[in-house]
Amino acid sequence: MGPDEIIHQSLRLKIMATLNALPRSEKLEFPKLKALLKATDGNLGAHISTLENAGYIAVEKDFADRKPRTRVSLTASGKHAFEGHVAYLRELIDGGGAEG
Amino acid sequence: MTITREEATQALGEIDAAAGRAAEFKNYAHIAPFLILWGVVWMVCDLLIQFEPRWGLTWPIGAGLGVLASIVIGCGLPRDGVTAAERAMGWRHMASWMLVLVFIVALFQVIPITSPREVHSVFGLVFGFLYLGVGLWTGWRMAILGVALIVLTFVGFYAVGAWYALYMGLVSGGALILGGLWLRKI
Repeated sequence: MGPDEIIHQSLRLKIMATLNALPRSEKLEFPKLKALLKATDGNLGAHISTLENAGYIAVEKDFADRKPRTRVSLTASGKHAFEGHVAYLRELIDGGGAEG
Repeated sequence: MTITREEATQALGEIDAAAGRAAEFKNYAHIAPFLILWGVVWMVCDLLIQFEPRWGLTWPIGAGLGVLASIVIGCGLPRDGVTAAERAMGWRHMASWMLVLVFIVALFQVIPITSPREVHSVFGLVFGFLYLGVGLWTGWRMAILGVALIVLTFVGFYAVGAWYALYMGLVSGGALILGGLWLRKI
């Protein structure tokens, strides 16, 4: 298995790692994700869109206490892709896999 | 796409750091409502004891209500995607804290207690050290809260006179409430 080019970008990697560490299908609010990753609105929003377009994360927009709320969660295919990418990285470090 | 071993090592480091921070946040989010609840119980019970010391059942009743409220909070935690094993783990956590309460009560059956002040202080110290221990596993904020509780209990025990219950209610109970609110912030 090769590297996942979509996931490997630094902030997207952190987004995926953060969502993967939460209980299955737990949704994380955008401001909390932003604070956890110390990212800016624009930067985080752009990378979330990329991951959403790839089908790796689900973005849900609704209202809570009459305020707009955006929550993101890892999809099954996102989890599978993330675990595959991590396995690739580990294999590379262990010297068992080819670079590239 | 080419990834060198150095880049792979760095990427795994970033993954570990992000996952660790997320796990810490998740633990804090689960612990926070219980801390706030028990801070309120502590504050109310000690204030009642300070101003109406004859109410000997204040703490047993307060602790009983606290246990019931803890169960309600525990049952109200998000259940989406939670497995049976994870639910069982939640009950084990709850049972562990109850065991600590029972342990302290059992301790008082074999260790002579001469004043309510000592009872208060033992509870403050045991939970302070427990929070410190929990903090070693879940995150530094819990450890700081544990240290704060230990220090505040010792200060109260040695430096506060007749207003000890009021002090413990406001300061130690307040510390738990503020600590719980602090844990909810990222």
